[in-house]
Amino acid sequence: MRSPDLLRHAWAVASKDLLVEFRSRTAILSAAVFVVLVLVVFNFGRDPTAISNVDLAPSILWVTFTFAAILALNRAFQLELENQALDGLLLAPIERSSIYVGKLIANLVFVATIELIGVPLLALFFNVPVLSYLLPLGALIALATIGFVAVGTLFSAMTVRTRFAELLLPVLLLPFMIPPLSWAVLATGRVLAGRPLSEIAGWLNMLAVYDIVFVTLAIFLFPATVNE
Amino acid sequence: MPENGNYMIAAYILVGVILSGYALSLYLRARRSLRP
Amino acid sequence: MRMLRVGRWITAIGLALLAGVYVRALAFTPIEQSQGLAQKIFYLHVPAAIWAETAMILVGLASIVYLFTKDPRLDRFAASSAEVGTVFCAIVLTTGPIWGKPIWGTWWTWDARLTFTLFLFLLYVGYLLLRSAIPDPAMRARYAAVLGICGMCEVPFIHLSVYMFPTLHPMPIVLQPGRPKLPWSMLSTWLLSLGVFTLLYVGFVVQRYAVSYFREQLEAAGEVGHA
Repeated sequence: MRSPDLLRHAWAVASKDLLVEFRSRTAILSAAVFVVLVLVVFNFGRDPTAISNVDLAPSILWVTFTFAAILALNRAFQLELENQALDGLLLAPIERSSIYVGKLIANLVFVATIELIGVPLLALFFNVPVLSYLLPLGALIALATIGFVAVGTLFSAMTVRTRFAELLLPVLLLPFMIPPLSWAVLATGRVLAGRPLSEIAGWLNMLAVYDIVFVTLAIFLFPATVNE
Repeated sequence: MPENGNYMIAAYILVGVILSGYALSLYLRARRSLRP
Repeated sequence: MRMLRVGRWITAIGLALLAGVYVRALAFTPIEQSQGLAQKIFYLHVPAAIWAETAMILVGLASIVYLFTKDPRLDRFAASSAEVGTVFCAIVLTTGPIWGKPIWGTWWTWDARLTFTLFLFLLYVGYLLLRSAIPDPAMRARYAAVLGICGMCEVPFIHLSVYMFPTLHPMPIVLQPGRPKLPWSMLSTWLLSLGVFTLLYVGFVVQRYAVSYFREQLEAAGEVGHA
């Protein structure tokens, strides 16, 4: 199938998901509250006199995003299971890969919304100067998020049809999340410390390669998770 | 030369136990699936 | 049935030769001067590590071919290789700290190579958990194949990130280009041990494959629920 079609169909799937999300707003609101709560809990687990905020901020940021993303991903295919909506989607005359790309886009929008809430709150609660590093920080968050959401979307299509779906997804996904997360944490630390961009170029490259490899892989593997 | 023979003995016993334990588990599982 | 018998024989020979490796390593191999007796853990640790990693790659390769051919034999092989890989990974993860305690002075450190082995172990556990959570055999095989391929593709990434972090772990001394630094008396013991671990891997996988086959026959006959 021609690639314009693939993107058009993917967009149709994504906008359907986002519309459902926008109409109810329960999931995004719960996720936002969850992010606030995690950040507040972190506040109790640290000794501000021992470790400075800037040193701890990267870990707090990424741990929060990890938990929030897993919550979001668990929900991605849950919608489709009710009333056999997934079967209807599979019967539609579109490529299976475009369903994946559509789900990926919807999940990315969802997780990006959570991150847009999380970053200012981190700056507020922990007094971290993010404003002056907005551009490199944004690029870093975007690259890391694409990587683990791509793998997570693929896995959630599988785990949603198993027993213990909510438990199995993090168990499968975390070993795949930790490499990009560990690069992101190290690079975020450098960015917030005001180091030059050239110092984090290596990590950005690794994240970009990871994204390309796993997005491509997931597009090819996704049909195998829905074929009956 | 450091005195650390105990660690070596512990590791050798452990590896032996893990490998022969797994071999035994395979043996038992095969027997059970043959005569359920 | 014949397969099971072959697997049992290979395993039995492997275990007998493992006793041979113990005798050779303890009595007929010189003691390393700076590390003392603890250095001899290396003869078991490194061959187990090599096979723990190779098993994951083999799972991935079998999974790729499975998605094209849908041959149930490949799925059985992948499941067997993953289980045996988990056992070898457990050996690496337990012998490593036992060596680290006397040599580094600590059981565990967040060293890159230790972390890598831990990831590999978690990958294996996730793979086996996914298999056990799906009752339908065809779906189980497809899902496991998807995860196996992703796992294989992640191995180079973890390897790359290993070299981006500082490490305490000794650099590879056996498999390096040029002349090996190990004296022949030690190298021959190590090679013998590598051969024994290879035999054990093959023997275990063949037996585990036979067990999967019997179970599938039983499942097909409807005598037991899935296991």
